[in-house]
Amino acid sequence: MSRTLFASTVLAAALAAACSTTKLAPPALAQARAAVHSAELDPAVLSHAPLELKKATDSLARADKLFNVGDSMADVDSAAYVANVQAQAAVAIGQAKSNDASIAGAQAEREKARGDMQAMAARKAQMQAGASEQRAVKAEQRTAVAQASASDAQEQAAQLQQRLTALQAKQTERGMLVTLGDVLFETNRSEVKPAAQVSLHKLADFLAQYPARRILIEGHTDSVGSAASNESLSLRRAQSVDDALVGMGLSAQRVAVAGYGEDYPVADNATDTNRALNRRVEVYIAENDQPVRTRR
Amino acid sequence: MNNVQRPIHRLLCLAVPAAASLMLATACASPPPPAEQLAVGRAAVERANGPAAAEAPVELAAARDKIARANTAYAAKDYDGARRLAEQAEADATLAEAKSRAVRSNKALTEVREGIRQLRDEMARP
Repeated sequence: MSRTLFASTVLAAALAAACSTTKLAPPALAQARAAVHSAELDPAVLSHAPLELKKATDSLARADKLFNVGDSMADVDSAAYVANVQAQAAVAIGQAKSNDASIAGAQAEREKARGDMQAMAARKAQMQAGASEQRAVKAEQRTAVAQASASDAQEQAAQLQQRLTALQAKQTERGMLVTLGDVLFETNRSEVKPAAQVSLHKLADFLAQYPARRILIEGHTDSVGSAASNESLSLRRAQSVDDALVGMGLSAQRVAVAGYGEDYPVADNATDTNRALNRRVEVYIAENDQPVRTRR
Repeated sequence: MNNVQRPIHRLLCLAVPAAASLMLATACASPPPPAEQLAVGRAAVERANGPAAAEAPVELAAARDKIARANTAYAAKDYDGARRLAEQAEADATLAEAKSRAVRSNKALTEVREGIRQLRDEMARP
């Protein structure tokens, strides 16, 4: 009995020895072991591809078993190849899922960045809008001021017009003309009659409203009498008016006087009426700050 | 002892090869045709065909090659060969799909990160 037992034991051992291939693992199996080991250490695989890793480790176990029981090289190599490829697939899946997780976070970050940018743009727009609003308000104010001064000017012009109309002023090329007629003077005299005071006051008040405007007082006569005496009379009458106006508060500096005698009639000297018309004092009011242009 | 060893040794020298060949014979008795494994392999390669074509062409080509050889082996009744090749084709196809997923997810992540960078750059501009 011991001999049979001994024999079968030895036989079994011999069989095992005979049927086993080399002790050294074939390259494919070594590579598979390395690949699976590497996958086992990959944190992405452990978090995201545990099932794929299990497939690879199971395949490697199968390959090892085939190798240990001495199966055909082709089978061992094939099983090792499969384990290797499955380990690589596990790594790829791990990376893919790990990226996907990062994408979710990154997308959230991108949305936040967009939100921040939009908020910034909105604030900028608000500030710009605020600035534009301010500019608009200022422009409005300026318009209002301009309008006010325009209407002021209009009012002033209207008033001026009114007053000139009240004075019966005429527009001429040398300025506004107020004519003081013959009735204001005694014949051949240059003193202004008391009746003239009202007209002169009106004129003085008007001139006081427009202190920048200068005036020219011209004396004129009819053709009766000598040219020299007429010139002298006309000048004296102009000076009388000047004195009267200055007496009413007008600044003397504003006034220029001239006597033109019979040289500039406004009507022929044929009738009494016309001669009366020619006997006049003309007061020109400058329409700007320049002195009135003289006739000669 | 010597007298006993020699006959045993001779016995072993006869028995071992015989036993070994017997074992070999039983182990290598015709395997069943690996129809199921082949079907699985074919299906896996088909599945990988569309998505992996662009991003994992090498792995996909390997899978296609293996399954073609598996079919040939099967037709030639090399069932062991067919089984092994079909298994490898399945693994290759799975790797092709996995790789293409990884490539695509990488692209997508890079895109989003680039988008963030651009936005932050724009915000930093005065």
